Amino acid sequence: MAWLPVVGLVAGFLIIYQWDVTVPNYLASYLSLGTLAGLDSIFGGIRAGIEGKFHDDIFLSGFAVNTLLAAALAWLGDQIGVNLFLAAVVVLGGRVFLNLSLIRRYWLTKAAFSKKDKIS
Amino acid sequence: MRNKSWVLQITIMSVVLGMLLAVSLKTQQKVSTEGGVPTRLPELVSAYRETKRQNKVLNEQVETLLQKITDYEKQLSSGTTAESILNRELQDAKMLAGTTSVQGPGIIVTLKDSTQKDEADLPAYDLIVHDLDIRNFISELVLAGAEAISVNDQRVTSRTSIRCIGPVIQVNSVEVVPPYEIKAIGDPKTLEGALKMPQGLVELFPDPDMVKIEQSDNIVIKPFTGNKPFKWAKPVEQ
Repeated sequence: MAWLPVVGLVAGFLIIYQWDVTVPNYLASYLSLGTLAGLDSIFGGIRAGIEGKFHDDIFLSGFAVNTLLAAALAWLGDQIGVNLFLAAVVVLGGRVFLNLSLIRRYWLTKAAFSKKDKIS
Repeated sequence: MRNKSWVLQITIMSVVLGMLLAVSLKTQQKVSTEGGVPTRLPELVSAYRETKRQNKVLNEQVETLLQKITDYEKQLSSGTTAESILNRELQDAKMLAGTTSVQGPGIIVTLKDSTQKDEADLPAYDLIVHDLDIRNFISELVLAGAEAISVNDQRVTSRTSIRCIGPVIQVNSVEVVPPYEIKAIGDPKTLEGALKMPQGLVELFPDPDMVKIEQSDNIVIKPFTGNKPFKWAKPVEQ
């Protein structure tokens, strides 16, 4: 079951990649930030699912709101001359790495336990 | 069941994320192929303006300094006849080299792209001014006795190149933009006649609005302000 999200990711990517869908140049950096926020939401969701704390409403609203809000905040920052873009990249990037490490830890622990079970 | 439902939901959102990634990637590819720098554009614009302004100020400084040199040379030579003869020769050489401002009667030729539409009998290539056109005009003016020529205040010297680099024309390796203003000092009537003769350069343009010729009693032509030292050529030693 764990490979399903990866398949979904690749499928979504391939569907759009065939078409020549782009946004205007000045929106490019905001779109990238929105994508990073989406990545953060996905990893956050996986972590919550593993920990048994997954709530579908929180996950779905979080994905939509985080993505739009990250882009909107970066845009606002550019308007008032504060580089919120960098702040968002640092925070979101940090969270992605944190969630990744927790997911990895969970899987390693699980693998270690199952090994023990086999031995005993 | 609940355990599996979160994987399914994440899968659905992963599809959306994949789409976002694809659009992002496509956009970044587009940006990099167009060479645009979307987030840094305002800074580049202000840096460009500042550099342009500095360039203008420095160019004016070069001109005043060149004028000062000429003044000093005149002062130095006010003594003996030998010195004044030397100075006269020096000033002639400088005029020939184009490193001093000159003035006199002449004509101002203005070349600009046509505003007419591209049609079958008027191909787009003929409706814009090319580097070739400017070279032809300069050659014709020199032949008709022009003694000093500049294109958009870039002095034409013996080492001037006129060449199009992509969409822009460079004179003395400096970009010039339309309308191209060619100033030439010489006998105004002869110069204008040379350009307007039957089957001449002016007649070659499909749209008569592309060329404007003005005669003037006093034209000032600025000096060549670049720096081009001789690296290979040396006077022959006898």
